[in-house]
Amino acid sequence: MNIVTLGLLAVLVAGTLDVEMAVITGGEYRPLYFSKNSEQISVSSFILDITPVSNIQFFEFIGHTPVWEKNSIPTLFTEDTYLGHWSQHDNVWQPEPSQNQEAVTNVSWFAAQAYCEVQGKRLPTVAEWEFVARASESRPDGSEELGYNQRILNWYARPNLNANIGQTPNNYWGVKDLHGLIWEWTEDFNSNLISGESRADASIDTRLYCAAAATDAADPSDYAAFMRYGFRSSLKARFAISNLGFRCAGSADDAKEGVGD
Amino acid sequence: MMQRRVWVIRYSVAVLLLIIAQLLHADFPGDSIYLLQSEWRTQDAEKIYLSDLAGKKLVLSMTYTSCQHTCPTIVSNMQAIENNLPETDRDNVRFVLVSLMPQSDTPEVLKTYANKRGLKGWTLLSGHEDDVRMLAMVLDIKYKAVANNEIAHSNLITILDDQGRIVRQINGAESNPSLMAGHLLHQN
Repeated sequence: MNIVTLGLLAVLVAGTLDVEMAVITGGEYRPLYFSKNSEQISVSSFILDITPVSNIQFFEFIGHTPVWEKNSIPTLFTEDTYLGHWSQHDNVWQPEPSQNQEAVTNVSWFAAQAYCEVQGKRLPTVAEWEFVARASESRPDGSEELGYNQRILNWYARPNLNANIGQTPNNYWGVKDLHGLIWEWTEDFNSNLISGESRADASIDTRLYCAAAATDAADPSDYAAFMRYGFRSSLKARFAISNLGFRCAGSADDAKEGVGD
Repeated sequence: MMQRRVWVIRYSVAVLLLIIAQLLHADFPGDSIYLLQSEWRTQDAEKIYLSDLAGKKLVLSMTYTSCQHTCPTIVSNMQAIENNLPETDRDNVRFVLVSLMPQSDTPEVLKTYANKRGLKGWTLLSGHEDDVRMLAMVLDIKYKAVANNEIAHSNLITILDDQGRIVRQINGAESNPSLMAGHLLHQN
C-alpha cells in the first residue's frame, strides 16, 4: 500500500497525468438492469484507473491542451457549467487548493474523452464499468453479498462530492470510488435507449427508436443499477454536471507492455 | 520507462493534432459539427473530411443499409423533403446518410443501396467507429448493437445550416416531416 502511495506521489510530483491502473480479468455477466432471461454480456480483459480523475490532474491536462480551457472550449463540446466549480485567478480558471484531490466534475463527455485519448487511453464502456462496479470488497459479484446493494443505495441517498479521491476501500479488483463519490462518464453512455424515468417505463419506445419492440427490456429489481441506467439515458455528451466525473480505461495489451520495464 | 516514452510520443502527437485542428477550423462557429476532424469514405470510395460538407445546408440521418425497422421510412421521409424543395433550392441542400454499421456498410454496399433507393446526388458515408460515435454524440443520437446483427437507434433527421450548426431535429418516423423541413430550409 505504501509503495502504491509513494508511486502515486512521485507521479504527481513529476507533473504527469499518469495514474495507477488495475488489471481486470474479463468474464461474462448478466447486466443487473436486464431481465433474468436476457443474454450474458462478455467483457474482455482490460485495465482501469484505480481512482477517478482529480481536479489537479484535469488542470494539468488543460495546461498542455488549452483548447479545453473554460474560456476556449467550443460550445459544440460543452455548456456554460463546464468546470463551474473552479475559480478564476489571473484570468486562469483553476481549482482551489482544497479541491485538488477531489474528483473533477462539471466536465463534458467530449472533454473526458479527450483527456483519456491524449494518454492513449479511452473511457470505459458501460459494460466494463458495470462489470467492475458489481464487485464488492471481497467478490467479483457483490450482489451475492448480503447488504451490498443497500450500501450503494445509501450512498445514492447521500452523495459525498467533496471527499478526496482514493479514500474508499479497494473493491475485489483493487479499484476505488466507483460508488461513494460521483457518477462517471462511459464511452457508450448513449447506448441506453430506455428513459428509466419510472419503473413502469421499462421497454423501448419504437416511436423514438428504430428497433424491434422487444429490445432492451429493463429489470428494475436491482434499483441501484436501474438508477444508473436511467441517469445515463438522461445525459447528453455536452452536459457538464456537478456530480459527474470520469476515469480512463485501456486495453489489457497496454498493461503487458509495461511489464518488465 | 518504455511505457513512459510511448506515452510522451502519443501525447505530443495528440497535442499537435489539436493545434492543427484549431488552425484549420478557426473559421467555423463554436457550435459547428465541422469542428470534428473526422475522415470518411463516400459511396464512390472518395476520402472526405466532414468539413468538406460545409457550404450547403444538410439534411442528415444516421442509419444503416440492412436496417428493416424505421430506417426505410426515415429515408423515404428525407426523399419527401427533397421532392418538396423547389428546383432552385435543391443545389443548396445536401442529403447525407451516415452509416451506424461502418464495417459492413463499405463504399460498395453504400453505392448499391443508393442506386437501389434512387438516392441521386446524395452523400452516403462510412467511417471509423470512433468517428461514428463522436458524430452521434454531437447530434445527440443514441444507438446500441442488439441481437440479430441489428443496431437500435434514434429516429432522427437533423437539419444543419451551411456552417454545420444544428437548425432543427425532427422525428424521422413521423408521417409528414416534409412540410416542416421544407419551411425550415427556406428560413435563411
